[in-house]
Amino acid sequence: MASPLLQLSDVHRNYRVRSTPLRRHSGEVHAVNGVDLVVRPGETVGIVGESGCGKSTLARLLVGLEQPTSGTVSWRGDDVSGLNRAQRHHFHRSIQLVFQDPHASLNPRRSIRDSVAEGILTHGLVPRNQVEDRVTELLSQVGLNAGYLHRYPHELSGGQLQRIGIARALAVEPQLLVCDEPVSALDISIQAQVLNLLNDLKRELDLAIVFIAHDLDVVQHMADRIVTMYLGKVVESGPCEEVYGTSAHPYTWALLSATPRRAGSDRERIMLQGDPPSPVELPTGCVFHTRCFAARAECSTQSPALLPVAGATEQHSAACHFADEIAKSSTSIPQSA
Amino acid sequence: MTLPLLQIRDLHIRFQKDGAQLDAISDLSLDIERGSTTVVLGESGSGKSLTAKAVMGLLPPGAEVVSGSVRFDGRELVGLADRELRRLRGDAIAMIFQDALTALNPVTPIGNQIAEVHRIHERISKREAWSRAVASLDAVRIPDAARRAKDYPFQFSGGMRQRAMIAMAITRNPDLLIADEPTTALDVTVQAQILELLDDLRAERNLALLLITHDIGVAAQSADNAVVMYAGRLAERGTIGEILDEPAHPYTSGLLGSVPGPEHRGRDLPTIQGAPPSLDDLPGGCAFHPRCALATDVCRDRLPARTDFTTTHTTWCHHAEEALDGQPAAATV
Repeated sequence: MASPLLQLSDVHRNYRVRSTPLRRHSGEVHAVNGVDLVVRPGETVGIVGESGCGKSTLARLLVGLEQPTSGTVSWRGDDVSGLNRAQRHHFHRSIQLVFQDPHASLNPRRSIRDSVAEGILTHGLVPRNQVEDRVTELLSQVGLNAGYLHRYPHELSGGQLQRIGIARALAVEPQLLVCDEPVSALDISIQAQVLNLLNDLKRELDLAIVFIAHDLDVVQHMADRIVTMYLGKVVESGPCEEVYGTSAHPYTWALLSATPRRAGSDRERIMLQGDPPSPVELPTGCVFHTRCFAARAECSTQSPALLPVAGATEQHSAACHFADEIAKSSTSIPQSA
Repeated sequence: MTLPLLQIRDLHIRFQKDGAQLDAISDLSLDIERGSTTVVLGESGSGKSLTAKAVMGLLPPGAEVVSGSVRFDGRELVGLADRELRRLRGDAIAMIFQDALTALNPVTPIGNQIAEVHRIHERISKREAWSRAVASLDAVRIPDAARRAKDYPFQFSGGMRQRAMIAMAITRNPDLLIADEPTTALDVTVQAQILELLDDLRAERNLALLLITHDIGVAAQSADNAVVMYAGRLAERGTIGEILDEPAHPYTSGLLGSVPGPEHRGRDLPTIQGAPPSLDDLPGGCAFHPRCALATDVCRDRLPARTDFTTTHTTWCHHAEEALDGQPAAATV
């Protein structure tokens, strides 16, 4: 198997919450709570979970916008925190972020040309007199013609702006694209166009993609491997078909059954009670036990480790005391049948 | 057959913008029966929210009903005096919005906000209004409702706030509940709870539910009937089964096809080319023609007339037969 591009080992990211006159409690938000993750060249890793599960903090950790409180992020085997200036420069070029809201992530007062050219100039990738040609080429790669060069963000639709966001990320020739909810702000018909574009680019440029989204259908379409997060922890990970077909964690199963579908699924429908708890006061034991339909006494005291699922391929792991049982009962007639 | 609870006929709503007149909604007709759920599907700018606002008599400034009628329980709402409309709103017709946090008053306890609805519509004691508010919170399955009624919105989680807003909407026992993207801001596990709650309330109280959404999965799960809107007009309407299984408008087929499913794995998703038009630049003829694979000259020149397939299934497309034959929708590319 190819050596990892990016590897996270036991990464934690905490934020301190101070007490204020209007907010009496203080403490720490455990946004990312001991995550291990590997991204290999050319693969798409999907990350799913509900709001507050740490998806976006993870995205920022991956691209180096946040530093882990503890644990290591390694790029091609080297700990990112130990990189020197030149290496760090190269690291930032190799991994780029595509944001959810293209209206908010592009400077409204800069032309499309200037926004896309910024990274090229910062990294000195082409001589100044060729920058415009390179930007034109990037625009055509994302399906826009040179007519957009001198337009401004307010003149473009959401789908076009998201294409610009992607062009801007591609401008520095990255090897890994981290997409944080890249299509959730778009209309359905536009969403499909952008998903196809990302897949085309992945093939053409041999990109690895970390695809973060709350829409499980979209993630299933994009991802080779899938990671389910709950309250800052990875609760299940594995090849997409296995995780969707034989969920070994009750939370993944619940997420899948909560997703409204055109065709009803054959498997039993799980309805969770309540909202996810606050990441400031994490439940003891298994973080999911307060909402879990399969919880037993030990779940509230012992935190389950992320372990391989019996009878599954080696990459399929789940953090549940009863993963094997869950995997058996969640198995259904495959959705694609 | 009894009259439908809500009957919209040939509704035409126009916007004044920078001196130009924009047709936001044209020729919209729609019937909604008691005890049933009707979904309005469409992308942004298709006029689905404006339709809801028209029913509520809450059109934004600059928008006006040019022609058509909206009859609720036999009563014409278009042109009704504000006072009369206010009496209906919150009493017979209620609405819930996408974002519960902005729709609730942050500095008033939840229970007071619900009790207030009663005191506006009826001369009853504060105590009586309060106990009705608690009963409503209980009806939307808020645990320990009597105590939680004293809480402020910020003390509620996202899902609970949406429940509180539903409690406020149903507290007067309305006949029609309009929900504008009620679960778009929620996580899927919470969305599932809210959709189930709405469906339970519909069944328990024989409510007519008008659900506005862009999410085909939500529509499939909740609706009895569906209408698909494009650029302010109806593209197609039918039972949810007819819309999902036998779409007879290329736009409906295109929308259904662009939702990723297991059958698309490893392949490109079918797409609708281009983007929805803006109201100030609507294409002539059928507004969908620039994006339509079936478009011919007639589509550019003339508005399509309606084609009825069954008593419930109607489409507005020049090539309706062809669109229907193009099944399954997912195979259009």
